[in-house]
Order: sequence, then C-alpha cells, then structure tokens
Amino acid sequence: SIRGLNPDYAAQYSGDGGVFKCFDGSKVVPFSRVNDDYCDCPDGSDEPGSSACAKGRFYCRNKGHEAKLLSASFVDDGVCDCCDGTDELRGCANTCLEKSAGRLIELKQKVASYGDMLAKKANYVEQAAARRKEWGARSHTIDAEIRAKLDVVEAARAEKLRAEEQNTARVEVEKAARSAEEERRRLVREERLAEEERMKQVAAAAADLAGGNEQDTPSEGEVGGHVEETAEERGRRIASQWTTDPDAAASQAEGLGESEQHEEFDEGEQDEDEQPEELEDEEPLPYVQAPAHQLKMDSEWEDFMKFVDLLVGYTRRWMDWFKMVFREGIARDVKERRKAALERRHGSGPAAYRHGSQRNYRVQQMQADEQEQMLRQQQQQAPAPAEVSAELREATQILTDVETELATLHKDKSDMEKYQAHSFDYGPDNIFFPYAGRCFVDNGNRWAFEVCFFDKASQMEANSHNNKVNLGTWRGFSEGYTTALFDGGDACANAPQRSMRVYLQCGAEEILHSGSEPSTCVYQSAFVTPLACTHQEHQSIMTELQQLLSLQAEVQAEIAAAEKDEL
Amino acid sequence: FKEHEFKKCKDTGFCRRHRTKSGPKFDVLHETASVSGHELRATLRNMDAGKTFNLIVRAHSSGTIRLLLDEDLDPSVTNGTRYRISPEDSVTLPSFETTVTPWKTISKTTKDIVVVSGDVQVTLTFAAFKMLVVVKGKPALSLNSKGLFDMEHFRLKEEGVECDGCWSETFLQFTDSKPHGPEAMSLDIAFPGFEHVYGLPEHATSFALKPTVGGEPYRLYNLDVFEYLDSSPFGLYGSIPMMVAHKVGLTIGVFWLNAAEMFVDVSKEGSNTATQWIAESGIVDLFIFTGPGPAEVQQQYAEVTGPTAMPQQFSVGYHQCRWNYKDEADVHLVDSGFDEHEIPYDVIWLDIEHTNGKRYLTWDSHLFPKPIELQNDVASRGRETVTIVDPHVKRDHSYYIFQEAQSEGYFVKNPQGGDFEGWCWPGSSSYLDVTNPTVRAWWAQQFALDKYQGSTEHLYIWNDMNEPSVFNGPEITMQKDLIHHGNVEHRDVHNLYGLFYHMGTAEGLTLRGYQTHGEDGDRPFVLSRAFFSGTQRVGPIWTGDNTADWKHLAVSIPMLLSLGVTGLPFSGADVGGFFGNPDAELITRWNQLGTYYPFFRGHAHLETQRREPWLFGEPATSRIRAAIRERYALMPYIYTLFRHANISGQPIMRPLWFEFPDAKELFHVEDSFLLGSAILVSPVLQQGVDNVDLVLPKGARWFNAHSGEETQGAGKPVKTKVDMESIPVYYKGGSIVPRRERPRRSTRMQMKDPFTLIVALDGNWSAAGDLYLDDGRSFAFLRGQYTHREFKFEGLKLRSAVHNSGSAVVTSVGSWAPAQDLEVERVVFLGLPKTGKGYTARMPDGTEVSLEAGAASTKFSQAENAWVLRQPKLGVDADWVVELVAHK
Repeated sequence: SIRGLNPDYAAQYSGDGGVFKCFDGSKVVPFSRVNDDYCDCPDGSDEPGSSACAKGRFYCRNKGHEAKLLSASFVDDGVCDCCDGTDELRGCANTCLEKSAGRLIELKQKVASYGDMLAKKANYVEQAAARRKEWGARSHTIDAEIRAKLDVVEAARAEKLRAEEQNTARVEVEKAARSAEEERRRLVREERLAEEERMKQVAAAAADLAGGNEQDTPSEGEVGGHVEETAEERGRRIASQWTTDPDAAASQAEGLGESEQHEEFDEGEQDEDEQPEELEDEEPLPYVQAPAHQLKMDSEWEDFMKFVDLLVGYTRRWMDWFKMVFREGIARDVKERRKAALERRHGSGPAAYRHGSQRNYRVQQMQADEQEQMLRQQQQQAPAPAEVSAELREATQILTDVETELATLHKDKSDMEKYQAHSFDYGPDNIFFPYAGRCFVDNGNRWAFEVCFFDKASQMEANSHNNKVNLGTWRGFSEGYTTALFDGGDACANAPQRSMRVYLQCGAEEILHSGSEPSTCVYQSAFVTPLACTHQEHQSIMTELQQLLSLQAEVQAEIAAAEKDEL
Repeated sequence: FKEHEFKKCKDTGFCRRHRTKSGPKFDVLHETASVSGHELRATLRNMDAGKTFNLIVRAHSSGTIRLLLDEDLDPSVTNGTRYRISPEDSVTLPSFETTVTPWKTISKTTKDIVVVSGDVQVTLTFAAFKMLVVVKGKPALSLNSKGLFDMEHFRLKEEGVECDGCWSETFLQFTDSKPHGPEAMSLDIAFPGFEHVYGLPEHATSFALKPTVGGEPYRLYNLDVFEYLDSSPFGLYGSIPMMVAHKVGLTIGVFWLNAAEMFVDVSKEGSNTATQWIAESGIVDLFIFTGPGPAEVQQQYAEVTGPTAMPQQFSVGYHQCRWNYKDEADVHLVDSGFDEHEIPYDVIWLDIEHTNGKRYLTWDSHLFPKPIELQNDVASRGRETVTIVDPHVKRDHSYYIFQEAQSEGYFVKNPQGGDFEGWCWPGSSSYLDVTNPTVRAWWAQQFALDKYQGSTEHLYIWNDMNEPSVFNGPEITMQKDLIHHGNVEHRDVHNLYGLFYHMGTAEGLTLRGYQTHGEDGDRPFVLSRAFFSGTQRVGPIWTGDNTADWKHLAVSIPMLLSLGVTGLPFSGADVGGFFGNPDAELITRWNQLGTYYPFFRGHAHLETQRREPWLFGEPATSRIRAAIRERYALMPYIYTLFRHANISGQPIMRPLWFEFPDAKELFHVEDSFLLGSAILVSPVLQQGVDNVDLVLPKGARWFNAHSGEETQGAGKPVKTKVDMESIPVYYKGGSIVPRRERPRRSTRMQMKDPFTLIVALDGNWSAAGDLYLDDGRSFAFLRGQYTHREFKFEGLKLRSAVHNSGSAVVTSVGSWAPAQDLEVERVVFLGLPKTGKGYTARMPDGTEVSLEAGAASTKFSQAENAWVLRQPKLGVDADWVVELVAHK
C-alpha cells in the first residue's frame, strides 16, 4: 500500500504503465518515484507519504475518529499528528479510539438530552406569549402598584428612623469615648509624621548643599522651586507614554498584581486589613451579612465615614493650601488636564491630547488610590463601631426589602415600556422575548462580560462589577438567530469602537461563556441556550453517533482480529 | 518622540566646552619619547596648564595599534582618579593584551619619532602633538591634525573661576552634581582620502555617516527613546564607539574603549573625512585597526572585544512576540495557529504582563497558572519560550528578589549612600548594580531551575529597559552622580550598564545549562536592548521600539549594517514595527526583509491590532508564509555565517562594499545588502511600487534566487520589476549555498532533513561554499563536536572536503557524529556552460546520472540554466567528487 495515500485518489496511483502523472499534469515520472523521498511534482502529488514536497499532503485514515489531511512538513518530524500514528514511522501509538471516546460520550449525552432541550425551547414560545399577555394587562395597573409600594416604603423608613434615634442615643456616650481615643492616636501619628518630615528636610538640605539633587518628596522639590512634578508623577507620566488606553492590560495587571501580592505574599497583612473579619471575632455586626451597598444606610457607619472624610478632607485641604502657596498654577493645570482626560474618556477629546490626558488619568488614579489607602489606614486604626439594636437591625432589613420590591416594580415598568411587542425582532414566534430585560454574566477571572439581550453588552471587573466598559448596544441577530451583535461601544485608542459578537449554542441551561478579545476592542463570547437547539442538529448528531458507534465496532473487531492473527 | 526630554550638545557642558574649539597647546616632551619593546612611551604636556599626561602607543600582531593616554595625577591636588575599563571588567578580552609585538624605531629626532610594526608605520610629532598612521605606504589616520585635541585635567574647585558646566549643571529639573569637576576629552581623528565612514551605533540614520557640521553630533549615550524618529543622530538604546573608514584599497577602524557619554562630529573636506570625539570622563584608550581590508578590520576588532557567541540554533529561526500574549490559552492559540497555517516558528515570547505585578521571575498566577506545562507543551513541538526580565526591581519587601538584593546591598546607590529609587513598570524600583561582579554572580544564580519558579530548560530570557530606563530620571535614565561598586560614578559606566546586566543574565542561563545538561551545557539565549562593545559575546540585540511605517522599515537596514560593521551582527528590527498597525502590504514587505535579518522577530505594542502572520488574509498569509519558510530553507547557510562570525568576527548582514571593496559606486548603498558573501537582498521599501532600483555590483554573475535567471551586474541602479510575492534576491556567481527545502515546524525539526546545494557559478565556472553543523544547542562544539565542510566546484568537478577555517582559533578538525546520517538530496547548478544536450554526473561510485533541467520543489523549474542532480545520496560528512560531463 502507498503510505499517506488519500483513498479517494487511489486510482491515480495504480501504477498502470509503470508511470505516475503529477496531478497538475506538469510531469510524468517512473512509478518508482512515488514516495521515494524526493519531490518530482511541483504540486507534491508524487510524495503522499514523505516530507519531500513542500506542498505535499499526507492522509491519515484515523479510523474510529476523523480522517485528516496533514501538511507533508509534519510527516516524520517526531510529533504524532495523526491519531492512528501513521505520520511517523515509529513512536506513535494509535489513539483514535481514545480520541473519539470523549466525542462519543458528548454525543450520547447530547442525544439523550436533546429532546428535553427542544421541549424547553418550545416552552419559551409559551412563556413569550404569556409574558406578553401579562405585560399587556399589567401596563394598566403598574402605576397603582408603584404608588402603593411607595407608601409602604415611607412607613418603613419612618420606622427605621425611630429605631435609629433610639440607638443613637444609646451609643452616644460610648462613641464619645472612642472619638477621644482616635484623636489621641491621630496626634501620635501626626507627631511621628512631622518628625519624619523634619528628618527628610534636614537630609534634603544636606543634599542641596552637596550639589542639589532631584528630590523624591514633593514638598522638598516644591520648596526648591524648580520641580514641576514629583518624581513619582514623572515616573507615571513617562510610563503612560507607552499606553494610551486606560483600560489597557498594563494598568489592569498593575492593579490586580497588587491584590495578588496580598494573596501570595502578604497574607498576614491582609487579615489585618479586613476589618469585618476582625470584628466578627468579637461580636457580629448587622451589616456583616448585608450587601456592601447597604452599609451606608447604617447611621453608625455614616457617622464613622463622616469622621474619616473629615480627616481626609483636612489632610487634603492642607496639601492643597501647600500647593497653592508653592506651586501656583499647578492645581489649575491639573484641573484642566483632568477635564481633558474626562473629555477624552467620553470620546470628545482631540487625539493630540491622548498622551497628556492619559498621564492625568493616571495621576487621578493615583490620587484615588492614595485616598483609598488613607481610608484603609484610618479604618484600621478606628475603633469598632458600636453594636446596634435588634430593633434597628430588623427595621433596616424591612426597609431594604421593600425598597428592593419598589425597585423591581420600577424596572418592570421601564422594561414594559422599552420592550414593547414590536420594539425588537424577537425571532420566530417571539421566542427570544423572555430574554427582554434579562442580563447574563460570565464568570471570567478578572473581567466579567455581561450580555443584556436587546440592550447592551459590557465588561467589568469580575469581583466588584466596577469599571464597566460598554462593548456595544444591541444591533440585532444575524445568521438565522445564531449570532447576536452589539456595536458602537466605548471608543478605543487606535481601533474601532468596541463591539461584541455572541454566538448562540444549543444547551439545556443558559450559560454565558467566558468572553475573549481576539483583536483589540473586538470581543466575542458563546451563549448556551435551548433556543439555539434545532431539529436538524438533533438529526445530524444522531447520525454522527450511529456512524461513530459502528466505526468503533469496526476498529475493535480489527484490533481483535489482529490479536488473533498474532496468536 | 519628545525631543525636549533629551539633551543636545548645547545642553551639555562638556560638549559645549570642546565642540569644534581648538584645545590648549599640547606638546610631547621630546626627551621623554622612547621605544621599549612593544611600547612607544612619551609624556604629553598641556603647555598652558602645565599638566602632564602619560602616552603609550602599543603594537599588536594582528595590525592593531593601541593608544593609551592617562593623566599623570598628583593625588594631593585631585579629588578622584580617572575611570578606566580594565581587562578584568570582561568588556575586552584579556587575551588581547598578550598579542603585543615589538616596534622597530625607524628614526628619532627632536621633532618626531617614527616607528614601524609590520605594514604599519606610526609617526609621532612632538610639537603640538600629532600622530600619523600609515598602512602599506598609504596614509590611514592622523590624530590632532586640526588641533582639536584636549584632555581636561583633574582639579579642585576654585571660587571665582568660570568653567562652563564643570561643577554642576542642570537639565530640565535635573541637576548633575559633578563632584569631581571637569575631566572631558576631545579627540581629533582625521581619515585622509576617505570619503566614507560608518559605524557608531546606535542611531536611526544613514549607514554612511553624514557630516554633522551645523547640526547635532552623533551621540553615544544609551537611552530609552520613546517613539524614536527614523532619521536622527540622537543616541538610542546602545553604543559602540567604533568607526570604520573605507576607501579603495584600504579599510581601517577606530575604537575608543570608553563608556561615558560621547559626542562625535563628522566633517568632510574634499575626499577627506575628519572627526571629533568628545567624551565626558575616563581615559583615552584608542584602538586603531589597520585592516587593510574590511574583513581584517572586523577580525581585529573581534580580537579586542571578542567575536559573536555561537547562538542557539533555534534563535536563528522566526520569533513570535507581542506585548502581550495574554494568558496560557492565548499562547496555545498562537502556537497552534502556526501549525494550522503551516508556518514555521521557533519561539513564543511573553512580555511584562506575564509577571505578578512586574516582579520579574514570577508569574501572574491567574493568567499563567501552569507555566511549566505550557513550556513543555510548546517544546513538545520543537519550540521554545522566552520571558522578559528587566533590571529594575520592584521595591516590595515581600518580593524575594528585592529582599535579597536589598539586604545584600546589591542596588545602585544615590550620592547620599542609600539605595537609588527610580520609577519603572512596577512603580518605585531599585536597580541592580550589575557593574559589581558579585552582583552579577548572584543574579546569575537566580536563573537556576529551582530558583526561578515556573521555569524549565526550554525557557530563555529577554532583557529590556537595561539602558537603564528610569521613567522619572533625566532623559529617562539614571542621573550621572549615582554611585556604583567601587565608588564609581554612573557617568563613567553608563553605556556599560546594559552589557553588564545582559552578561549576568546570560551567565545565569549558562549556569542553568550546566546544571541541567552537564558537561556540554546549553548555550544561553538572552536578547538585550541596550548594548556596548562586547555585547556580541553575550547575545543578540534588537533595535528597540520602532514604528509600523515605511520609513522605519527602510532605516532598519542602515541600523543593522552599522551594527554589523561594529562587531554586533546578531541583531534585528521588530518586524511589522512596534508602534502602530501595519497594513497587509507593509507587514508582507517587512517579513520579506526580515527573512534576511540576522535576528528575525515579529513584535507589537500592547494596543495594536493582533498581527500574527495569518491575520491579514490571503494573499498576505501565503506571502508571509513563503518569506518565513525561506528563512528556514536558508538556515544551514545562515547558521554557517554565524560560525564565521564566531570564528573571525565577520558580519552576517554586510554592506555591498564589504564584498566589493574597490567599487566606489557602492560605498553609499544602504537600501540593499548582502547576507554573507553569497546572497544579495534588495528589499522593497516603498508602498505600492512595482519596481525597485536594483544595484548589482559589477564584475560578478548574479542569479535570481526565485527564478534562477542570470543578470550581469551593472554597478548602478537598474529599474527592476517587482510584485508582491517576493523581493529581489540574488545568488552571487561563485557561491555554493546549502539549503534545507523541507518546511518544518521549527529549526529543531529540520535537524535530520537532507540538504540542497545551490551551486551558482562565476565567470570561470567555479564556485565555493561551506556548511557548518553542530547540535545547535550545547557547548559540545567547543570540544570538537561539529562538522564543517567545504564544497568547491572547479573544472566541472564538485568536491566535498573538510573546511579549513584558516583561523588560529579553530585548529582542530571537528566531528559531529549525527552529520554522518545527513545527505545531500539535490544539487542545483546555476550558470553551467550552455549545452543543448545536457549533462551527465559521474558519481563517486562510478555510476552515471543525467542531470535534469529544472526541479519541482526548488524554485528553478522554469529556468533554462538550472541543472539538477536528483537524489545523489551523497553523505554531507564524507569526502567525494562528482564530475559533470557535457553531453556531446
């Protein structure tokens, strides 16, 4: 037999007349030159089974799996490319059955569940109809529902206020004691900082005398009068020359790298940072279990935050005054640049501003980071907020619940207005209508994707869901409702506006697969849904399963026969 | 490019003090001039200031003259000593010191002294200090003919004495404290009868150095220049203070071993070229290479600074880089993309984002959770991985590198004695003081497999930012008054820093190689951005952050030619251009040129569109595939060129005049070049053109490498048609070029493939070439585990014999056992005498085989003048003769 020969072309390798004709007709050569490891035909047809021809094609039968046409350059190179191992003269086992085993299981499972998935899909048609009917009726009553709920919220709020007042009175004394303690700590800290500052100034003065070097601390540079930006600001500005996109991986990695650092190197430190945990050790506080955004509703917390804000504000004002005195114009400059940065981020800034505004974006980020860091420090040093009464806890919970209910009603109303019967193409039988107003989020490591059908696609930080980037607004389905398109998203440096393509795949449950960015600012993801299941696919996978099963039987029989022969 | 961030001559005190200004009068005190063996010694005196300097002129056996000039310091009145690079610094080879040869005194009067060594005669004129070098009776070089020489002497600061920028100077917000005061030097070097001088990398400008009168001098100061311009004398990432002057009949070189900031002016007067070299500090340690030919100058320079290291063979293949391949899935996708599109490649590169927060030698555990599996998987298909490692160390007490380096005191210090802190990718950083051999040795240990977590023997390294780049420093680098090991100021060693870092890293991989592979350790592969003389012994460099435009494509040729003639041939420009987005035409043309770069890597900026070779659609994909495959087909030839660089310092990419030194019309050509001596490349450097001005040197037969067609060299530009499929490439008649025609995944996968010999005949129907083979990865070749064959075609006989390197370095005949299983599968003869009836080959075993016209899998199927010996089954490692007989 002729190595690497595609059975479809067997007739051309019959050896009739003792010659071989190149497929392209360019040459007739003695048949002995077929697979003699020398390339005679420019199209590579005389060497189906060697690596001699650059254009050669090696056919692996891969019985039990899938046949494959391999580039001749991969023949006899020591890498097993064909699962039947025929592309290498030695060293490759036949792994075709193992290769197809996975596919076989997949097919069996899919075939077994396909009926259910199709039923589920049919159910969506009913859901769509029912939902439309429900909306039709509810559109007349929704305003009344909202009004009624508003009254309930009002009552809950009053109740909570009352509980709060009681609680506040109870803890006032305790709080005063804590404030005094905090003040004492602050003074100690300030004293230490001032001492350090004095030491630095002494060192700087010495350095100045020695010839005047670049200073690292802003105040010293400013006093000297010749430094326009701090060393760190300059470092950040130059670093930012290299990237223009604030969302670029560089900045992400930097930020996330920090958090990892905590994970990997600073575990002890992190524990100290995590105040709630520390508090839990003493006595659980009501907001420990509550979602983050509700923390602010706790008056105790609010007070504490005010206190912190005051501290931060005081420090910042002092810094500002310092800047005003020694660096007139800098503050104005920063403000202007921030404005330019903001404009650019909103896509209106001229291209020429990119580098500069990027720098200021970084500066802003830096300031925000500093603020956050300061906050964290203060939190660490502040005494634990006092316990709140069970009554207040309960009242808070009730208010939260009813406010959530109210928000749901508002969303229902806006959804009903937005996704009216004919606002969008909901597919045949309006089958996609149940997705109106729903969003699906993937579970990406760092960045999560969110796809809201008929609305928009976004990307955000996976943990916090912060820093949302708009990847595009709904553009519609394409390719027979197998793809959903979003475009015209946030602007990109040196690239088109962000866009996203979502491929729909058949499956039992709705799952948004982790998205990717194959090209800068062009995103894609797969969305599993029963709505992508079709009778045709059902048929074809059943056929494939049958074929695979019979092939497997065939190969197993062959292997058995071979073993018998050996005996 | 932010011009205002960088200094010009006018912003620099020592340049202002010396540029084009006559110095004080220096005389040689004639009674002090004496010859003792290999040394001519004399005392030089600044007649105005009364200071004396010791002059030594040495002769070396290879024809190199070395001039040393140091201050005769009185320690009681100076506040320092002059920094000098000594052989212990590993910049130059200690072995060079032993090659001294005696001078013969021809005459000595009160006016001058004349000494001779071999073909070189040196005349030292005492009054107003002048020196003239004559080679074989031809004036080659004169020192101080214009009276610009000056050497500032050490002094103590005197109040009330004006001295421009001597004791402190400020640029932007940065003040350089200059505690030692002025110590600059100005050398006045003229080249009589030379219209062209070359070298002095690294500048993005013409190959033949243009006059700088009225403009900026060429600057040598290693800097990280953001978005550098395509035509500028500003100093870029590396510096080699080496210049080559070439004229009909004589090539010479000048090398000033000095790592301080330097400015060089070039001026032309008639057929003479004059230069002025101004350095900020150190001593005069000037090497004059007297040729007399281009190859000899390269050999002489290599004798001083060392020849190019024998590279890992994989590193001569195609490299795929990007800032950044995001995660393991991305790497797998790119790796399989090459197989899917049947494009060979050897190395996948990971830029800074692979690290944990820019802490080098760590991994981002989310993006690269399984780096060892990743590298092993890539390696299972014959490929390697490279990670980036930069010299700035994040100031983070929980980072082990920082911890160790800080506690050991391994960082560069600020003038107050504390660790210098600068800003780079990780934020606040300190910088390893790699000028200290102890620090380099410690750094080298960090690359052991058990130290560098997540590394494997298939991981190699990329050193970036080693100028060093300091984002918040003056000119994006360190201030000059920082302190290095031995209380040396940064100003003295600035241009050396990158080399030392590169050296330490490469030493790390070498150590790892011995730990992993035993006696015949793995050769290191470390790419660097900064460089200095000597870098060639360590590893390749690339030309930094270029831009995806046609001008940067074009300027890459003069940039790489300059590196080639200054002893650093293993270099390349980022294919496609780092910044910006190349279109299909530009990326195609760039790959077609990159095929012939000594270092061939595609790279791209973080925010560019993805541009792996198959992302531009057809027909671009097929064209890029063809270009990269051609690189692999030429691998045996290119690897053999590396061996010649390794033995005798010969460049790989060469200017046309290098092989045609008497053809004046070629002295300014820099849009085409030769790869070795056999292949002429004339790339397409303009958008949308259908022809190029092709210059084929006169007096040779040239064979189109794509069609086999013959063209006679005209020695002047001839409009030649081009299409998008390829760029004009020619074999020079008289060459034999070994090739491997089978496209493979990588160089490792080619190792067992047979060879094709292209025999391109000259006017006498003769040709010669050679083939060097070894395991491609270890140091076993150093103990003779290599095969070097020579092929000669003369009198219709093709002979295979052992190559005689003719080099003192390689005295024994090597033998690499696996070569015995390798065969020649095809010999293609180009330019045989015309015969209507063809040829028969008489094989070594006595059988006769008819040659075939053309051949399918080479490119010559349509050529009438290609005759192919089919499957001769000749052992590549055997001696044999094949005789051709024309059919009657």
